[in-house]
Amino acid sequence: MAIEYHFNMATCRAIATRLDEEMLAHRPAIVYPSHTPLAAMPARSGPDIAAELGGRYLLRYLIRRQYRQFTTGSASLQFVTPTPYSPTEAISWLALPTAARREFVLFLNAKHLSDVRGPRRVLLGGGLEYILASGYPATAIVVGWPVPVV
Amino acid sequence: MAQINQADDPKLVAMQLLMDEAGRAASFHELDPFGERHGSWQRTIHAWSGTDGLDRYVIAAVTSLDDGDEIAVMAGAEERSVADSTGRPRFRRFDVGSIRLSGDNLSFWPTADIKKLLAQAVRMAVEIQPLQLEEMQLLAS
Repeated sequence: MAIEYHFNMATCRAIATRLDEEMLAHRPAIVYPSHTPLAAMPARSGPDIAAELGGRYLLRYLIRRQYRQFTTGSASLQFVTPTPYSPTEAISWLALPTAARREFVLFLNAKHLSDVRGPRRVLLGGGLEYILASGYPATAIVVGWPVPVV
Repeated sequence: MAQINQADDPKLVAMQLLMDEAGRAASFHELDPFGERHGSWQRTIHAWSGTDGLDRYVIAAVTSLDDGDEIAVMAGAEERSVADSTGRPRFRRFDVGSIRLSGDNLSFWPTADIKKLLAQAVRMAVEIQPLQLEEMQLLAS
């Protein structure tokens, strides 16, 4: 079922988010509401997520100081989104409490992930997110280094 | 200043305790544990307010910046939506404040200030009324 839109003068961030919503609605995928605790969402496999996204990559934004920190993967809980945002848009749509600019992004291939939760609506922001409960391996990084975002 | 690399870092453990203490009286519980969220270590506590149908949140983020760590706190409330792809709830969000930390030693943390900031965030989250909620800004402004 197609979602009805009424675009007059939509912002790029709104269009990008809505297109992702529509893509997920056509799978169909469950988008968990924002109040859903991490533990209440089932663990999903990376290939399952990759199929859901039609092969698109997941995005993990970084501040400048983290440029080298996550290029070898991470075993910590990580939050990622399928939606591209500019550094300022990311702060509002992903509801990031600190105003530090997210000037870089890592592209992650979902095929290489495991224990993925979501997608879930971003609370107090409106974007969409997946949660990598076990982090991600270095093999999931598509370009070997963070890519600048403007 | 040492960069935080894992969720059991002493700074995050200390923040977790302070958040739990601040939210306990208003029945806030952990929604997401500390995780790396686009540049910051972020944790969310949540309380459901059935009388007015609002989910209330307090979020704390610890960010390692060039000149030291920063703690930033956000409070907000959101109407509960149905679990489908089109359920975009109305919400209200406040940046409550931030505190810059000058060192790694927890003994020198401004604990009283952090407690005050978290208490203020809980109070703001609890006091948000449904009529204060706004549609997500979808159109150009």
